[in-house]
Amino acid sequence: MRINRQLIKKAKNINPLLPYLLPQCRTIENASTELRWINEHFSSKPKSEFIEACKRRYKGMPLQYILGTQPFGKNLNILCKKNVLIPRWETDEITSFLNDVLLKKRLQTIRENQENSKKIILDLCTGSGCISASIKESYPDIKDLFIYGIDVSKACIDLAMENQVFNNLENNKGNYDTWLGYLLHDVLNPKKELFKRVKKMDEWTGGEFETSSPFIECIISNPPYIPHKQLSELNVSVKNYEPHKALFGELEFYKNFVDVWSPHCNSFFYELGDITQLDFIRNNLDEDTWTVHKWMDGNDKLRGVYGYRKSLKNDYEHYI
Amino acid sequence: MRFLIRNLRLISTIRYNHTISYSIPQKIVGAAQEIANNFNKPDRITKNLNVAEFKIEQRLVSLYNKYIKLVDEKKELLSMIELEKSETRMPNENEFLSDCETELDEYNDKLKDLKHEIETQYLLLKKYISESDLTENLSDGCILEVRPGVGGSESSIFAKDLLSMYLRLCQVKNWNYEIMNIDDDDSGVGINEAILEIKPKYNDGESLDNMFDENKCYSYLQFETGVHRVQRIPMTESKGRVHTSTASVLVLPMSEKVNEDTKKEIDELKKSKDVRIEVMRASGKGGQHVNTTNSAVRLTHEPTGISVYIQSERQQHRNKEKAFQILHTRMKNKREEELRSKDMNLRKSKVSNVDRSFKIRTYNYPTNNIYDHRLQEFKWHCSVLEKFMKVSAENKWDELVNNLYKEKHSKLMKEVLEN
Repeated sequence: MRINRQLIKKAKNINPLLPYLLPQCRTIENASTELRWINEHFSSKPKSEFIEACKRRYKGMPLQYILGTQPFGKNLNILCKKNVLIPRWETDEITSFLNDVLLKKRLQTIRENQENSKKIILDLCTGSGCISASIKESYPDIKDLFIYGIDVSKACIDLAMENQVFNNLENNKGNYDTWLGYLLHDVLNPKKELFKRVKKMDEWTGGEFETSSPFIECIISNPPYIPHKQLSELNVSVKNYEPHKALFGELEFYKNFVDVWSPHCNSFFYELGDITQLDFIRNNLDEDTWTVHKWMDGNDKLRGVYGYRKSLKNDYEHYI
Repeated sequence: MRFLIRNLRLISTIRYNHTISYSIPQKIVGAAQEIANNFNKPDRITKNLNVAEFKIEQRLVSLYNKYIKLVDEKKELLSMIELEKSETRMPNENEFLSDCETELDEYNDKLKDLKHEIETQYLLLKKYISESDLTENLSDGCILEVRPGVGGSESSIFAKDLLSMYLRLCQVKNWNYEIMNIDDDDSGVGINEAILEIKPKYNDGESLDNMFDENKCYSYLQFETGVHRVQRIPMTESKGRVHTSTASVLVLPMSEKVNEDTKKEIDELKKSKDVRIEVMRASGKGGQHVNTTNSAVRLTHEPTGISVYIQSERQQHRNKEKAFQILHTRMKNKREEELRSKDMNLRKSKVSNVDRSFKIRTYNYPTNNIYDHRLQEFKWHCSVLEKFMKVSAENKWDELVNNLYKEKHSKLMKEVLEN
């Protein structure tokens, strides 16, 4: 899309750097807001860096890579680096839905019961680690709750661990709060050792827990869901700067969930971009054991699918 | 000899001042004496069911007694000074005398404060003000909103000037402030709206009881609510004519410590179906397809039509939190305003609260003057407009606020004494 010449002129009159931001922001209002953020970030640095940042934005570099962070959850600041997907606002909304609605009653029950068995939440394709970090932020002190973020990319796991420290969510030995950790592993081809570790290992002591079945409480995932053929439709800042591995996929991860992960979990939430992905989950999970819902984002677009075992209706349906 | 005359003159002026500015209106004296006389009568206690009123009466009387005692002590001191003076020949070298005079000054200050307190209690008793209006009960923090009024783009520019003036004031006063929202206008030189949250800076939990101490942002800024008028040649004017434009300022009290009640009320507001939440509506597929940075949120409370638009943060959640906070403050203020107008008859006073549509101040650039239209009895005049706007003349600000406070008090007193 070309930008109107008059708009550029108008922007230039306000601030000579403003036209650089127009290709990504489209309107003067958005561009001014972005310019203010960039200005605040570079306020203590030389002016040349500020100008350089605006030029990079002009070429399409995502704002979050320029500023280095993206606010997320209640009070988190997620570090953003090359080769890792930037958290989207839709994912942010999903996380607050998970924390404030879907998991709320269930985690309360777990906290009250104190069963002494391992409770597990998995964040598959964790990327920057934003979802798992946000769950620990909301539920910092549930005994025997272990949150694992799993990703196939080394860059992601490194950044996720960095984010854990950056947001003061480290595991402090001895207090038995909620545990959060990241594992480098292929979600599509999980090996036996991964299952064994997630299922039994007490990450605090290295000992073993007793097992119950299904052993995972909840699986959350924001897998790549853009069909390859849509590559040309994507914005420059997405297609030229963000990792394609985190963007493109069709049914692989949804198929993988149904076949590999669903037998082991009580509930799940998968972000998605297309109705075919919703239908796939709906049609392939056993209707007698699962309740499945779609989830619409704040922009009224289909953005997720979630479900829980019918046997746990009392805990999961409480707020919905 | 010269010194003697000077000293004598000094004493006589103090005396004169005493009778004028420290004496309590006869009506209050009467009321206080009546209450004091009735205090011990048994029927009064049984009749008086209103505990709050009873407390005010008690306070009034005890303050009055204190006042009488101080006046007597002062009289004694004065006579002592006079006696001393007639006996010594060199009054300027008499240490005792100068000590007495400093003491006299102290008495005067004390009396002045007492007078103010007694009058405030009297106003409370007569229901011209309510407990919540007292300076010590006002909340510390506030939300300050600036919006352009009439005058097109010139008024947006003036609104921006006012905003930078308040920002400067916050810096000078060492208050914590946060820009909740700035909405630039199309040309980029003015603003369509700006919302500031201003809180006192609490250092080691120490709070002073001073009337205008640094921790009381709201009591300092409360008089800013109203329409500010500007007269100048606008930047946009090509023929050099002077225009008159306006911008409006609204200051709402906001409790610094978000107490449990406020939290609960905000939570209720979040759950309420009356509030419509709008996020930016982007076309296209969304999600991983795009990486949008626009996280603006608009809240509309449908029954009252109050709407808040926030876009200053990089995350929707944070914008939403801010928006809910402002929405809550605005709604609360509106409710209180309604209540206030309802019991206007009960309170009898019409001067106590300035409407937001009231023209309060004029900034005249060609003559470099600022006038505050509310000040009649207590004159305040500022001929250093630039300095005032840049808050480099901080005492001008303090003087203004002090005078406005006194003006309000004296207007109320006039009213209560006339009735």
